[in-house]
Formats: sequence, structure tokens, C-alpha cells
Amino acid sequence: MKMPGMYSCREVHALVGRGTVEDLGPWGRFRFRTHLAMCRHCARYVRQVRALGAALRRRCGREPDPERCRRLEEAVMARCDGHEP
Amino acid sequence: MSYVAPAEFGTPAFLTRLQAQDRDAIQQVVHEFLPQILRAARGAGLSEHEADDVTQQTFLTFIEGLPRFEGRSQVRTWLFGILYHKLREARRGFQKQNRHDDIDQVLESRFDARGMWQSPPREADHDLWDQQIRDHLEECLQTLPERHRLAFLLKEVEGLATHEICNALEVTATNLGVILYRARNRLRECLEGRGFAER
Repeated sequence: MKMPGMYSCREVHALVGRGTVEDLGPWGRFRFRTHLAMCRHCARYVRQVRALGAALRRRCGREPDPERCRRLEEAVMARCDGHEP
Repeated sequence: MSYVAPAEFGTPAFLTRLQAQDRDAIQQVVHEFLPQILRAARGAGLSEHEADDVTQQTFLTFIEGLPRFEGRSQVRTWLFGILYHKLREARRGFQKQNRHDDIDQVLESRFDARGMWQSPPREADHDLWDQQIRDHLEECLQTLPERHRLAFLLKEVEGLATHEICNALEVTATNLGVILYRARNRLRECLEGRGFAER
């Protein structure tokens, strides 16, 4: 439900989707937290989006193979020095 | 080699060395950022071979351009900007997205005229949810336009600040907000559509 001065579900959805919650001031954060405390659908949406970000970091955030990086670094520096590797 | 900590890469002294194409300074930048650039290239959907090639090309372009580098953006931001252009060259699908996107209609249909949910996210317990993400994240990532995927990766995985991503991808903060909104929701909708939130 929408209380006067509080965010609607669509507004919460936009804030979370755009990733701009952290840019809110104290009043905005209060309105955001109050909405989540009262709205299980938005609370669920936020949980799902956060889990998605965490999964993406696990999948794509692994350090590349150091040996591969070393070879690429050598190749770049060889080209930098004017030598074709 | 006179080692400089990455936090010092933005200092005038280090900038002068870079502009002069000082080999040691270049090597420190390559050593520091190559894993990140390679990881982003892979995350953007390139094969291992393509990612290696694009990573090398990114650093060679960086080195060639150093005399013109004025330090207005951070070294890392500049590198990601070059990477973005290399990805666009490497992948035809990397064109800018249209102003209107079909995901907008899908999302709009989830709310009623008062802005309340009329089709809320389906419920899932945490274990099932994590399992569905593991099973379907890879294929759902493929449904993202490449530019959206890169923006999302830079934000969520590489942890770049909004202004850095805007500089690298040459978009306004407003446009970036729209891109991230569509990327997050397209992924979530895809996972839900593949049984992600079903009990």
C-alpha cells in the first residue's frame, strides 16, 4: 500500500533496479526502509536482486589464471619494446 | 624499477612518467590492471582467445595514446574506456541500444496505476533460489545486450563508481541508470521465467 510521503512499489523497484539506493539522503533511506518493512513483495524483489549480484560476483569475479596473465603481460611489453612476440 | 603503489598512479609525477612512455611505469600499469581487463573481456562474452587478443589490443592502444593522456580520468577508467571501444570493434552486436526496450513493457505490466505490484515477484526459498541462479545464470546472461552486460559487470563485479562507468562507456548518469535497471531486471525476469522462483 502507498502511504502519503512514502514510496510506491514502482518507485522502490526503480531505485533498486537503477542501483541508486545508496545515493538517497537520510529521509529517502527512511522511506525506503519503511516501505520494505511493510511490503513483502518489494522485500522479496530486493532479496532476489541482491542474490543475483552476489552470484554474478562469484561467477565473473574470479581472478584469471596468473600464468595466463604473465604471458599476456610479456606479450604486451614485447610489443611495447617494438618486438613482435 | 622504481615501484609505485597503484594508489599513486594518479599523481603528477607518475602521470609525467606515463606521458613520457616510461617503460617501468607502463609495466606497472599493465601488471596491475591486466587481470581486471582480461576478466571484464571474458565477462563481456568473448571467448578465451578473443579476450586475450582484445586485452592485448587495449593495452597497446593505451601505450600509444599515453603522450596525449592528460589524467582527467583515472588510468583504470581510461583502460575500461579503451576496452569498451575494442569490444565494440570485436563484436557487431555491441551497438547502442534503442531508446525503447521491450523489457520496459514487461516491467510496466507488473504494476497497477497506483504504482503497486499487480504481478509481484514469485516466491522462492533461499536454497531453491541459489540453485536456480546456478543453473540458469549463464544462459540468462546471454540474453543481455552486450553493452548492458558490460555496464552491469563494471558495476557489480569490478566495483567501479558511477562516474567511472559513465566516463568509460560515454554515457550520462541518467542513461547508465536506465541501462543498469534494464540489465538487472532482464536477468531477474529471465531467471523467474525459467522456473527460478517456482516452488
